[in-house]
Amino acid sequence: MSTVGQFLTLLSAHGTDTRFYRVDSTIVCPCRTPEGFRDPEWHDANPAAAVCDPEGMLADPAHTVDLVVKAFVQPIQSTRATRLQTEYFTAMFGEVEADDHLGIFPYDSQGKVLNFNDWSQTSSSYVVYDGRKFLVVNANLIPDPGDGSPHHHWEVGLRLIS
Amino acid sequence: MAVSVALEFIPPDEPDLKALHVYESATKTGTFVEIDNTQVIGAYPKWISRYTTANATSIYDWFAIAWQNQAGVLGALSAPMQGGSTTLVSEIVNRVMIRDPNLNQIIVGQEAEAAISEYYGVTDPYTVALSTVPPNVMSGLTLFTMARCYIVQAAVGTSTGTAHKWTAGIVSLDSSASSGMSPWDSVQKLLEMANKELGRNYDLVLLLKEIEVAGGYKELVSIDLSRAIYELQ
Repeated sequence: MSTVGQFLTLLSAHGTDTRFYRVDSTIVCPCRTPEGFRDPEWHDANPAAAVCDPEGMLADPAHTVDLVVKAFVQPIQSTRATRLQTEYFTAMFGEVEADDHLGIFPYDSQGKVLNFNDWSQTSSSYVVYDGRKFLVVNANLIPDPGDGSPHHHWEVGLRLIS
Repeated sequence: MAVSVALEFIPPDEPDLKALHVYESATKTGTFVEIDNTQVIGAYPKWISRYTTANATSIYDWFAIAWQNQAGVLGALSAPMQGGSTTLVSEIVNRVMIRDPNLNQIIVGQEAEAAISEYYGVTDPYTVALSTVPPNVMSGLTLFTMARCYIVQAAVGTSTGTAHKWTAGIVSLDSSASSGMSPWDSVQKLLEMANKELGRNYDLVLLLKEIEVAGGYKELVSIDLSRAIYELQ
């Protein structure tokens, strides 16, 4: 029998609201020059327009997942002090940096899958926890010990952006 | 001119039902004639427990129902019930389902029948007129029926007392109960209240050992938010 329900109950009761923002497709910003550069002057002249990334690209709303979900997120430095083995967080983060966090997320929420695989490292996609933005540097999708489904929850390495 | 009459009943625990037939008679012991039938009866195990016929002759007549299965076989007529009234069994079932909608209505019906039969010392619980039952006895029978249902649940392992223990990645869960009070304690409390209302002594004596978790170590909730290990015990 699946244990996902029990896990979600645990998350719902004790998890923290965390924002998942992932852009899987981009569209060209009107500011982009014929040479392929972002034009800050165009944005100065059009302050109401959406702000593009440094490459002059905008998130494609049709391929963007923006959800607030319940998750367990905490500093890896407090985690490493006691229970987790060194191998675990070394594999997750490589060299651990200050403000690295470990996140435990549901596989899906509100009918949408939270996909942490192949996370963009350009900060166009991010996780927001306690008002701070994080990149995903590693993610493991853990299977369900109850029925063998590969979709139980995510264990995610988070690195602070800002 | 036809009138509408609402009927309440306990559906049977049979998976292959097809239709519900409604019968009417001017007197309780008279000849019952079919006045209505429907195939909109829900799905097993949640068959309908209420039906309103618009074909009755009088709301004060007596009514009975019979279920037809998929093979076309018509079951026995139910005990007759006067229009505009409800039975004590139906009333107890309704009260129990209001208090705990997660219970199986079929089981509640069967346990309500048993509780009424036992308390009044009658073979047919439908012979007890609802109007003769005071509120405290009604409450006691409701609590007594709930306790009986929870004992059945616990015995077949569907209660909240079922132990769960699993580990997935760095997340582990170990639970033996979802609340601070064990299900047996809750049943005992229900019985104590029922005894008080019904003015009698009925005790829970079951030789079931409580499940031990993690070598007997028990804690209500233990969540270590600083170390990425989440345990519910």
